[in-house]
Amino acid sequence: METRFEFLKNLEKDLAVLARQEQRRLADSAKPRRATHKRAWIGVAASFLAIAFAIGVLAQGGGFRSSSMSSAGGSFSTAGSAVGGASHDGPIPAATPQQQALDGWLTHTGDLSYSVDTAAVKNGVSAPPADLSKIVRDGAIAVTIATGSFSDRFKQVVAIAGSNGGTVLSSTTSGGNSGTFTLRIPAANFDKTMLQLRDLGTVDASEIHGQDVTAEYIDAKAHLKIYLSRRKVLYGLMAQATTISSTLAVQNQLEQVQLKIDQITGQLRYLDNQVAESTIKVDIHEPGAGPATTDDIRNPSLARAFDRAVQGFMNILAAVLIGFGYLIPLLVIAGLIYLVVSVVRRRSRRTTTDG
Amino acid sequence: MDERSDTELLLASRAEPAAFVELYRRHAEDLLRYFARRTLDPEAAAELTAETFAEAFESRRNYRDTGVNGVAWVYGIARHQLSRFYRTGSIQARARENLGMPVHDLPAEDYERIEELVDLAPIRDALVEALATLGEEQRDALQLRVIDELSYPDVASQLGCGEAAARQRVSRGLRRIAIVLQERGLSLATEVE
Repeated sequence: METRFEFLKNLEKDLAVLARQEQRRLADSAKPRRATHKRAWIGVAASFLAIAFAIGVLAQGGGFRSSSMSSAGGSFSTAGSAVGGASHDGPIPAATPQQQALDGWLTHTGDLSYSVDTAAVKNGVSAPPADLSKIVRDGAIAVTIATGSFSDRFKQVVAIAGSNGGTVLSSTTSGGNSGTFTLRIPAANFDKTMLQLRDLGTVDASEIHGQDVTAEYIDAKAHLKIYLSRRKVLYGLMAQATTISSTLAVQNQLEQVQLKIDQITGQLRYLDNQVAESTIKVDIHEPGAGPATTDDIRNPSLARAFDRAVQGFMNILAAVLIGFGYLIPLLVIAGLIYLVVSVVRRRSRRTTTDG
Repeated sequence: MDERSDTELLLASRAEPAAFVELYRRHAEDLLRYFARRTLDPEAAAELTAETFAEAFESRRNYRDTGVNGVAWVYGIARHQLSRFYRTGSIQARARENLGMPVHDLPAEDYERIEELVDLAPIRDALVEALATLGEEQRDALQLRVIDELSYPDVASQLGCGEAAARQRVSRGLRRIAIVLQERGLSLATEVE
């Protein structure tokens, strides 16, 4: 409304100026408040995640277990195997008879890791059954030995190999205080040998790989049976051949079948050999010498690094999820208490105001 | 033209202070008239109007919508201001000082315009009686201005003083009379609700 009073016009101008100043002040104060709120919420979310993570870790027993090679302390890792030798990254498939047998003296502690029940071994519990025919098992171990004991431990490694019916396939020494060995040990004595090697000193790292070749073996056996039958038929045809050309044709076929039979027989012999004996790579070194050559143990690979990264991520995610499981009911209870307290306070304030 | 109601403007002014200016535009002249008819003093009416709106602006966040028109809340503040004026005979500038608002002198042309807002006819008899309670200077000034209805230049001429001094004498005299009439229980104007 337009007024005729100069005084009111001046007052309107003053109020308009005041309103503009107030608007600016409100805008200025709103920004940092929003930022503060945002920071506060981020802080709350981060704290919530951290608490959930901590609870998750505690709920899982205080730590993670790595499926890859672990340090000393009696834990082995296994690399699950798939038919045909492809590495297996997921949970272990249904246990083979051999693995079930191992469970008798290896205490299962997780999807992919086993810890050695050394007490059971020391108490004379028998080793797993000798039938490891369809599993190719390899191992690697790095041990730090006492200073000045390299020569004795060297002999001990050879003795361990011999006492378990195996041999030292190759050995390399470096500087008189470290060396590496490749042992071939009967599969039945593989685990026993690994345990004896652990007693050489302080285990830096150890690793066991298992490769199930049962399917490959059965497949080869089936093919052999077919080719043997075919050879028998060809022998019959050969006996009935009356012309030179038919004799040559059958002979040609027979040679090819025989070649296949030889190949398959060799493959089966190789598998038998692989299954019958395990390879163990041993590194022993005095303190400060460092492993001589432990390529299989130490060399990082991108694939393994990726596997470990994924596993680490999943472990943390699992810990946080487990933590949420504990926290969410607590938060719901806390929220209900807060609501009740708020309502009671509001009512008492209203009562005070009305009074 | 803002279509919002007075209540909506008052509520909106918390986050949008400019809405209060719109509320002022709608009601400033009515409030000035309200004060003019109760104080009889243009100066006091202007001062009280300014202080009332300043206090309303300052405490607008305390307003609660109870279903009554928002401007009634402003008139509530006005009544408090008025009762303090009757009690002390002076007008505070606390809210304006808090807000840093300047205190303007009443422009000369507004004196007569505000006086026009005051309908003295119903109280003229009481006024004559009340004149006896004033000092000589204020009584003479009021006599010339209110009873004889002379212009301010003429009042100043007859009193032998400046025009501004004549206005001040009339203003102070009317203020004094308003307070006296209020003390005697004479209603100067109908309450605005």
